[in-house]
Amino acid sequence: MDVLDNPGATSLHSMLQAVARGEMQAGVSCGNTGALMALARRELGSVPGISRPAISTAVPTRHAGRCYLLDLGASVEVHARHLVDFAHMGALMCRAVDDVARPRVALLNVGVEAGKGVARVREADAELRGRDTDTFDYIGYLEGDGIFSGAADVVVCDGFVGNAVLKASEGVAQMLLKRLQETFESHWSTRLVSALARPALMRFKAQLDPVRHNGASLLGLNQIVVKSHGNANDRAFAFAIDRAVREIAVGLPEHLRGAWSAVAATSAISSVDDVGRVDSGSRDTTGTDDSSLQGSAMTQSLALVFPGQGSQQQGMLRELAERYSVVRTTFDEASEALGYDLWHVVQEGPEEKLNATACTQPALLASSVAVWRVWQELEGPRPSMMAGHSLGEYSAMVCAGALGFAEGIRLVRLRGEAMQEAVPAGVGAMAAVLGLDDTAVEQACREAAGDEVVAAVNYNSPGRWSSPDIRGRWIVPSRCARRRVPSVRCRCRYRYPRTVR
Amino acid sequence: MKPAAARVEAAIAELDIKLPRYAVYQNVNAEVPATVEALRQRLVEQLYRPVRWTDCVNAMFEAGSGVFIECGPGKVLTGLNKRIQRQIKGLAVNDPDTLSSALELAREALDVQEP
Repeated sequence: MDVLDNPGATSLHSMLQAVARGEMQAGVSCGNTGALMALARRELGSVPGISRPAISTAVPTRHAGRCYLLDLGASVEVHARHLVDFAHMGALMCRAVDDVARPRVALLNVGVEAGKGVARVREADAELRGRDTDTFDYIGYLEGDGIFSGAADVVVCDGFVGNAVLKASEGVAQMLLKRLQETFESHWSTRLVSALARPALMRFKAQLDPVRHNGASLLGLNQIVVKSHGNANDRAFAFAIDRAVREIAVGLPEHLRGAWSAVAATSAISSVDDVGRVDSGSRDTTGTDDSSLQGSAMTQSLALVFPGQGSQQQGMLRELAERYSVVRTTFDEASEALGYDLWHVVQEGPEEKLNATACTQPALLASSVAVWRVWQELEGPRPSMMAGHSLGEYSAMVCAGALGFAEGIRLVRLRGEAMQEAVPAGVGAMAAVLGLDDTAVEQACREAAGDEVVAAVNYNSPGRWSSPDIRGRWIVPSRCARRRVPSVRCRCRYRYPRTVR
Repeated sequence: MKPAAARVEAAIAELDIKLPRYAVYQNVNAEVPATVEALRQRLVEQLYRPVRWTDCVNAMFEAGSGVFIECGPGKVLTGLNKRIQRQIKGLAVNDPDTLSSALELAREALDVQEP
């Protein structure tokens, strides 16, 4: 473990530092697993709330399927709560990277009956059965042969068992391939048959070839690290790189951070009480204390947010367009998708047209995408998170690559048209309520509604609401005032004269 | 807004949607969608359910975001975000000046050198 005592000179350490600085989006290494995990935890930190990172890779199953196995050796000594964490992480990876809607998750055990196995596995089983998330299906225990049956998408075990299972399965696969080859080559008749069956045999070999499954994810870290086999050839290494690229494409660490901040609140996943050390063999290898691990997990991230209706202004982005041509080309793309000159409407009006929601929505989406493209052109720091207010959520989706730009433009035009039809121009109205808590505003809406639709639509910041008040009467504010809440300030304006939102 | 939602739902169902490259917190539940299916559904629900902006900003702040850059006209969200979390540093980008201030702020906070 010299690398850990004096890591400065190693390529492994330089690679991880480059990832930590954000110069690279992922690291791929075929170095020593224990050293890689320990250094990666120190340099990149683990996602807040995740008690222990795990190593995971996919193994081939029947019906051309695959199954994630974890942990493969990051933690040899585990408690039940670590196994539960592994189950959540594995399921999330399966959903995010492989787009499996509800992954089936199993615990590896020496039998499927309730009383079988060691205490930590039984405890984890109880906890997984009683969990209150429904983002995956927990299917109970699975025996070793079940891993390859395709019964589960994620199989959870401790690192010692996982590593042994993985190595054993690779050995069996290679042995089978060799035996098959020997059998076919043993006699002239079988050699003839093998020539005929060659395409099928090559397909079979390709499916089982360990090379194709090279690349294990270090799961639960703040950034992406993939471990390649130590003896990987160039082709195998390419598969490990491909794994990293796929994780970048879906933003795997961001998904983990998002899920853990959401789920940690409901305490279905273990808390940060154990920032455990990495078990590599029986030695304590990290050489860092808990606070430094947490410290590196707290690096600032960037969030980009996208405005919704009401933020549009005639003449918006004019100066930016004079400086950066990508603004105009973005609007040109939007105009082409819409069939009219959107830039002209935005710059020259008429204002009524820009404020008609079927036009406002594409105009705002195009503006946000244009700013994002300028940001990228200038190599602005990469964001980790995005969100948009109402229509702005569509802008976030386009900027995050979930949706194409032209498709997005046409979609929000349709959204605007549909909203306008639901509430004809001039009928809907919106009121802003300040300084009243959520339940009081909800109560006022109910009292005010009568047979109209009065509801809170936006919880914008604490004590700050906006609400549509059909027919444009300021019912909610007057109700609030009548309730004589001393701190209430009601400010109402026809902010969105042609729409409810 | 339910009739509008039905039309939007039909249109969204036809589109090729992928999981976002960055964690996008959705208005309806302030969560990052785990599947494309969930993403579609939250986008449709957004038309008739409240926008939980406060929860979205809190979730992103708790997940480690201290700098919020608003991309697009106006600065409504930047104002709201600071009301939600005082420690948030935020700027809205919509002209060359605000752009360079925002780049500077983000690079400093993330400790990234200017390319």
